[in-house]
Amino acid sequence: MTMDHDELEHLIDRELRDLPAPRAPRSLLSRVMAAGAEAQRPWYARAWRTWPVGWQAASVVLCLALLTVTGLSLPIAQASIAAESAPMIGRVTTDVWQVIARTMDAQRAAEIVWRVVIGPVASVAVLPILAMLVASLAFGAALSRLAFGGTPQS
Amino acid sequence: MTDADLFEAFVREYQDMVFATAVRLLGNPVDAEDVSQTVFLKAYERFDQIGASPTAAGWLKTVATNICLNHLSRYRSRWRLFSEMRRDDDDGGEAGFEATVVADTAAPGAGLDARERQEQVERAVRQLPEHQRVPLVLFHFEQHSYQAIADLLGITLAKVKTDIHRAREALRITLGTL
Repeated sequence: MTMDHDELEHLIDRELRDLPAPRAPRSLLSRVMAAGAEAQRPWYARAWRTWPVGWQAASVVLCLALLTVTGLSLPIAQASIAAESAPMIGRVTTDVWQVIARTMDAQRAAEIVWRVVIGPVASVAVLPILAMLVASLAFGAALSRLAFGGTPQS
Repeated sequence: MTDADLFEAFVREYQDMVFATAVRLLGNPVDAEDVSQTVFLKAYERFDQIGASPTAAGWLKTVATNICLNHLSRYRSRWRLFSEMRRDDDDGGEAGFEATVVADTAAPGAGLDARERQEQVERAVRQLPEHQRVPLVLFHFEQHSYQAIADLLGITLAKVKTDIHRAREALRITLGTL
């Protein structure tokens, strides 16, 4: 079927004009009203990307300035803190070293006592001491059986 | 009545019109809803001027059309390319496209009631390729002249006429009974 341009235009036009307008989704109204309420807030209370361009640029410059100042002042602050805290740190370090030194002295004294006094005696006295311990246990068990007529309770 | 109430009534009155313009130009309800929201936010910014204006509907349609065209502009170079390719391929390529559209729609023709037929026409319009749908919608729904469409889209008058004619032919074949 062939049709000239004008005839086709009129037919399509008539067909399209008969179409009802598509209805907006129900969500559109609530979205628009929410966005309108958002738009009523002052610019600085909205999301950053909605700020005026000038204020966006100014905020970026301010942030960069803050970062620069922070970066420059950090070494100075560190040095100042170190200078202020040095005496306190020195006192604490001295105390710690004193405790360590005393502990080491005590350990050395204990080693000397063991090596000079206890060590020689211990090597000789270990067997008699063990024998006396076993004899004492045996005597206690026999006495318990004779005196109380049964095995010891413990 | 507060300003918010007035604006809500304004949106209720024009939301179908704005959405219809957007969805027919874009062929996509999700994008059309986003564009409609943007249009009404622009209206909100100057609500004291257009809220009670008798030209509000025209203003809304113009803004909606411009925002839709901006939305589509990122694809416009591709759209031009395809349009030119179709012109070069006039004898063979168009038949293939029409066959696709016919296959995508339900059996056209007699036996459809008015509502079903309208739904088919609406669907067929949305299924047209952008380079045909946009000038067709601007001409038949928005009552733009061929020259105004050419100016809006930045293309030649001849190309506008060709694209619209091809769109009409595609619709005629799709709908069968025209």
